Amino acid sequence: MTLTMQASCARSGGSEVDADPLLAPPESKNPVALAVCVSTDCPAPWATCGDAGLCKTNTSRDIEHCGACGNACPSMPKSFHATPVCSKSTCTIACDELSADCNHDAADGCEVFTGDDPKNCGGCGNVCKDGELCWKGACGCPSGFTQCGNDCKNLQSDGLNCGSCGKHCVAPPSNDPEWICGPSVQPDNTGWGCAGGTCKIACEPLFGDCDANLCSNGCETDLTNDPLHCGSCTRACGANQQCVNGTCLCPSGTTRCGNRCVDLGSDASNCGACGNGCDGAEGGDANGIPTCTKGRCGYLCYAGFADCDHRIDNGCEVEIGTDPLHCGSCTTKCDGERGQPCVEGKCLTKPCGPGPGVF
Amino acid sequence: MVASVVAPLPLLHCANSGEAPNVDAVDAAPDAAPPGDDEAGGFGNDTPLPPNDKECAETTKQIFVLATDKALYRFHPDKLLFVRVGQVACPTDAGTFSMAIDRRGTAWVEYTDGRLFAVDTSNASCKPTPFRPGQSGFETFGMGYALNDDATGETLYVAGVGLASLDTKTFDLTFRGSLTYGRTELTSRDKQLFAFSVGSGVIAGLNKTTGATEVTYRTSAVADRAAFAFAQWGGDFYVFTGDAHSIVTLYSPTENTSTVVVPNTGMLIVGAGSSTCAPTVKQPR
Repeated sequence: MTLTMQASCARSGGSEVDADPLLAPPESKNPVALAVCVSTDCPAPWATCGDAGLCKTNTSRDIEHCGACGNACPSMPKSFHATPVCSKSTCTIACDELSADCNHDAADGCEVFTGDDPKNCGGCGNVCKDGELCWKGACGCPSGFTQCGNDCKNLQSDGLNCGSCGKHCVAPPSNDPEWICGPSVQPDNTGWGCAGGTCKIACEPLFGDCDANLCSNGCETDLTNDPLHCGSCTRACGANQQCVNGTCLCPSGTTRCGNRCVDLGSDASNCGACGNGCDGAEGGDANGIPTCTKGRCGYLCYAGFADCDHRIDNGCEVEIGTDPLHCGSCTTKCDGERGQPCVEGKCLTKPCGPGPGVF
Repeated sequence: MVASVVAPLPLLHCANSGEAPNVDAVDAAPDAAPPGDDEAGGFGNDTPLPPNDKECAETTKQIFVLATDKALYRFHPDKLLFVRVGQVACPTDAGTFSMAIDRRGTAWVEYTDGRLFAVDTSNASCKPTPFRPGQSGFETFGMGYALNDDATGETLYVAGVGLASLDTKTFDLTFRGSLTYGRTELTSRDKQLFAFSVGSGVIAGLNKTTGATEVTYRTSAVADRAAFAFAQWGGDFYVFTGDAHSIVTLYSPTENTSTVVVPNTGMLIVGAGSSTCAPTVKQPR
């Protein structure tokens, strides 16, 4: 280590390192003020926990070391409807949907289900009016819905509660006026659905009466593959497009590769040409993803990671925020001999104090 | 509560009346290159995003929606008009999941594989971000920006296993607190953050620090298994729901009314967003 500014360092755990010009004003004439030493004291919230490495554990958010090494946030059984979280160095819990921690005791999780509790409807202490239903975390039924037992139903469109609670839409007696094409005449590709609170003859899913001639030819159009009526009667595909499963393929600017429409310029599975997948590790510990830009393959590391060995088969193997051999960048090495840790991408230093040096 | 709801026919796929989507199907720039000029596809400081350095350009003041065919549209709520911007071709096989728009016109789009992409709303070009999926158990999430209380800009919030904020410089996720309602999308009106829950139709005003529900609105846009999206414009909320084709429901919090304003958009909308530049008071139609 070159002692450029001062011959001695003071505090234990510190050794002098090359001065970083950014740490001192350039006009400074006092070399003592410029000296910095290696520090091994982890700044909060970083800590050295177990064998994870020097200052590698962020105790503000590490669920196994929350606030301090070894302080694991307790796990929760499923029945507690809660997930432990370490936030700002404190163990807390995230309640499941429509569950709440009304007694403010994390030990029993989120003990109240607020989805149907009229005394805690959508939140602790939210009381519904007398006799009012608590439905999906809110008191009463929404506008357009009617209470059917302990449920809210849309009587205008619900085929199982059409016009009134419990009324199923099935074929009516042959003399019912809803047989609009004649007594018991069921046009092709139709069934019975609910519209406007009344059971009516309606097209089966994925069929349409696009020629508005229901009684003559029923719902004659297969909306899944008709390029003039693709997905709906009013949707026509453009020139050179096909209708596949009710969707027009392929939109302009994209190329069909199998059953997908892709941009060959940016699709990492079809980069430059159909089937030309970009190499590189993905998922798991890869900490990065293959990319395709302007038809050329690349590899992108997730924030805080780097590909220092230039081998994309193992992805971005280095966490540059905490790795003393690659601290902040692949080429920055901390003072390993003196045990200098890397914290938030910087080799840990501190100002050198007065007195005899330790090295 | 007053409601004027045009109920959809669940089985009828006819479109002879009232179903024509008001879509101006013009690609703004179908062949646009990704933003930046980074051959390696990186996302460093040398390839700044968003590409627009000006905040609150006119083009950032509408609602943007994303459909299952991965087309991006600008939705003009005053005219109920969808204008196609282009095809979003982010480099992933996954489907789109949610979207938020920042003040410079960048759409932050999450896909079903948990990855986050930055999309230029002027031409739909896409760039991957170094966001690490799955942080703090947030695999997929709804997203929305809200202005900061201290007037220092805006923050991107995400709703997954709880409420968190996401820093789009460091791509760190910070947990804020539990959410009452599940399967939510986020939007804001000035500094107030709102979540829409499609299972209950509830719009909940959220405490940005804790995630706690502070105010509850009730819409008729209830759809258990539907795709959904949500955005604020002109002080009202626009809710996009559907399982084959989306309908658009306008909820007015001042009048407590739900109105289906577009009975059939002709597409299935899975993401919507309005920036914090969008108007927050009633606009003339």
